Amino acid sequence: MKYLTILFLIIAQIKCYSLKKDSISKKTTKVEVISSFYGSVGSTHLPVNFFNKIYFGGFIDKSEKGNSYSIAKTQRSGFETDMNFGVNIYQENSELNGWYFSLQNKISAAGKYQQGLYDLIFRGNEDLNQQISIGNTNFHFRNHQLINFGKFYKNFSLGLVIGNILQEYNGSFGENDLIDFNSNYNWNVVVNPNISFIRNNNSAFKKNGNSLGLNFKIKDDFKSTDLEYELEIKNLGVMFLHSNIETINYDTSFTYSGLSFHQITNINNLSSEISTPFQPYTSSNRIISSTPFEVKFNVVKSINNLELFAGTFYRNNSQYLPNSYFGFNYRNKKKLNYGSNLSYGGYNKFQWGINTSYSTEKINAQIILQNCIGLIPSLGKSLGIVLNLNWKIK
Amino acid sequence: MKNIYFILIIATIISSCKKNRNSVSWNTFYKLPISSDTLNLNSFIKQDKLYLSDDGTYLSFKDTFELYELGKDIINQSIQLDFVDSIKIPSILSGIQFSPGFQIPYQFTESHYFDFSSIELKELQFDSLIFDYTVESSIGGKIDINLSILDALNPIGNNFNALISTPISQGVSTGKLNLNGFKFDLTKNGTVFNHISTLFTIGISSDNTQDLVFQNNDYIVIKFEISSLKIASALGYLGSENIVDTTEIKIPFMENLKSKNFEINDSEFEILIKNGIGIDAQLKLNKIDFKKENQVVTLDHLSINQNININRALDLGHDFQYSEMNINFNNSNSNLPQLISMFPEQINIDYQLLTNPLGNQSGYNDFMYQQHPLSLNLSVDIPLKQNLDSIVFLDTLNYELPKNIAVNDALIKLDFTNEFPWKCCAYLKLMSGEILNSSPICINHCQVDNLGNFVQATNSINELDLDNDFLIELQNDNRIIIELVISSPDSTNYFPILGNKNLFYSINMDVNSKINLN
Repeated sequence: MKYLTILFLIIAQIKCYSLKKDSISKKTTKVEVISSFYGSVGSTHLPVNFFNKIYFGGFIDKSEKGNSYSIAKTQRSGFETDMNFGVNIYQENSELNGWYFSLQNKISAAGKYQQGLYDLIFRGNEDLNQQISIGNTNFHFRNHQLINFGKFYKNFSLGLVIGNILQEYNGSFGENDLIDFNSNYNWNVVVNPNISFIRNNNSAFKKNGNSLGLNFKIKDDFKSTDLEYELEIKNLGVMFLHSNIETINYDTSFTYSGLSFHQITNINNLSSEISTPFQPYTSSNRIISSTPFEVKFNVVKSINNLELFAGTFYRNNSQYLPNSYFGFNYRNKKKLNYGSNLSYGGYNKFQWGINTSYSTEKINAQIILQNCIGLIPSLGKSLGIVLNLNWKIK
Repeated sequence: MKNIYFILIIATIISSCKKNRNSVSWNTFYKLPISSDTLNLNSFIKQDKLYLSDDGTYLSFKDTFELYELGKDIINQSIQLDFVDSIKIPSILSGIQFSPGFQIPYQFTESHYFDFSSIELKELQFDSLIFDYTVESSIGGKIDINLSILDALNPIGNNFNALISTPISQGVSTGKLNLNGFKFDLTKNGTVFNHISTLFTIGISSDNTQDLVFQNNDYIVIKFEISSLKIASALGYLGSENIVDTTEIKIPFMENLKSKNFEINDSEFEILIKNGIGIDAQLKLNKIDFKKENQVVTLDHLSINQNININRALDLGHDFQYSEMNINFNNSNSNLPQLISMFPEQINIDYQLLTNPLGNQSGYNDFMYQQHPLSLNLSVDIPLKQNLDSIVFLDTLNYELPKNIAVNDALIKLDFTNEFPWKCCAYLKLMSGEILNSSPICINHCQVDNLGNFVQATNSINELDLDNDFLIELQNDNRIIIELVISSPDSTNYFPILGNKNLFYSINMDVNSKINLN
């Protein structure tokens, strides 16, 4: 898949060059080629270096495990990538109305958990000595291919999203689930996990799940003001998981104070004995759920060269905390613009971001850094990076 | 700017494809419960093998083990049923054309008498019987042969029939005959023993494409050889055989045990002889050796090297009666205590068994059924009222530690509460011979009174500190040598064991480890 992506990118670039250099000059009012890449990683408690180590490998030392918090504190961590390639096809003699079509690949993974569960995995149980609730722990991993198409107008666009679900993992635990470490050597465990897996199907077209959603966007001015607003909903619809669904679902509670004599003296059979009850099983059930749709609302007020903006953003079914932000952009009447913002939400908490854009008649590139402090990995307590590169040629 | 952007995008993606990613690792400190349990006699010995003594002060272990079994083997070696049938085509048929499918109006019969050594059988039934046959023919065409064994009946009373064929022209063909479950009447209507008669009819095979003309002296020879057989029963005179053999009984568990001294109060062993065969027999136990490594001790008992007469079983039709007898071994009539305390790893029984020592006493009414063998069983009755002095249990334990967890150092905490009158000390060794615990890990025996009876449980706490070097070796070896030395509180009393006595234990570990994820 990685090589396919590289190939696709290279082909896309070559195509763009060729469009620019010959035929594009004749069709600039007809076709607009768009590509964008978006990537972010964020956490409410983990420093940048933690993610560096997870991704690139290496030893995670004490400082990279983040600060110590109350074990009952709810934390979130996640990452996402979104690649989009497509075209806007304008109607003849119009630079405002037309059709759009794009291919999109979205990958995201995130978890919501109590600090105590994280501490148990990365620090051990030596200092816990109390009960960890795992009742509000949930996580997801998804990899979706989306085909977007629809029609756009000056202030409005509407379209459909057809999705191939390559992977969709979702998990949650029962409300009262817990691991009790009050006694170091006598653990009480209550777990009622509900985990479902959809793995990728080798077939290029026939997948184990599909989705159908709606794209909608409106952008206009409030009457009698110079305040501009934008409301966008992406992929609002249903997700249908229909084949090869694997689930882990059991309800158990037990006290563990060590293996029995029989188990310890037959240690060779122990691993299979323990793992067998927890193996996923293929379910004949089908799952219908809402898509991980996104809602974004944004208002912008322009004062001379200054553009003030504020907004909110939400993603469904992804452990994502609704994100609110405000900031400014300074247009210096040159190709390079820049600005700054403050935000709260997502997989992070408060973040101070900066953004810059480079715009010409044919190219628009934008980089937003959600949390400047995260640029210093050893200092940043959390990291939120959005790399949003829009790329178009007219 | 645009070019820089393209280069940046491609460079970023290519760099993300690098394959030499290192593993992710981090340190953790866990307090882990390893094992905890309550052990008693039922953890090792089934409840139905334990009996409370009459006065209720101790338990006894009672069980029966099979030492030896003799059944169909008593005649198997002697049963040879290979035979040859020859069919000579009558000269009167030579020169005549027979069309394919024509049945020759002749029957060919043959009688076969078998020599089963001294055995003379009236009836023989097989669980399974497979013959390999070879057909040799001088006839220039294919002949179908219908074979009947009129004396062989299947369970629903039909006699055996089979169609076999010669080759399409002169030569040899082979095949198999299945007579599983057939019962043979070997008496030729009550007049003889060990007899089978065969009946053949022949015809011109329809596979021939033209008429067949027999030549003078044409013949067919069929050889039958037993491929496999399993006898279900036999009736008649089963002969007189002198079987001389040595049975080896291995007790692998005992290989791990040694003792300075091991005394059990009033133990009792019995050899149970149970004869389900309809023959008289004479058993002679030439020698019974108990072996431990290079040490061999011979059982002393009156029955050794003496003829033991075993009566025949009785089959009354409505009732089957085994002939049974017992030979008792105890502390007063044998050297049993010496044999027990050596924890023998092998017992060799050198014996001879003479069947029908007085000949055909039953008048050809001996019988043998597969389900009723002659067996020798060992019955043991061991009172769990003993005195142990340094019983050593030595074994190698195999284990597999997770490879993605590297333990930097570990402290193992062991806590035992013992209600048994045994003190147990453990020594743990690496395969290199290095001892893990510089001082032994000991579980103290319970408190006992002057007569050796239980007074109070005792608690023993041990800690075992394992440094990184030991742990690396443990992780690489996947084996550890464990030596347990078990002793009674003193050397004077017999200490009784009761079913309600327990050993409670918990083993926990504080482990400073490095977890690796690839």
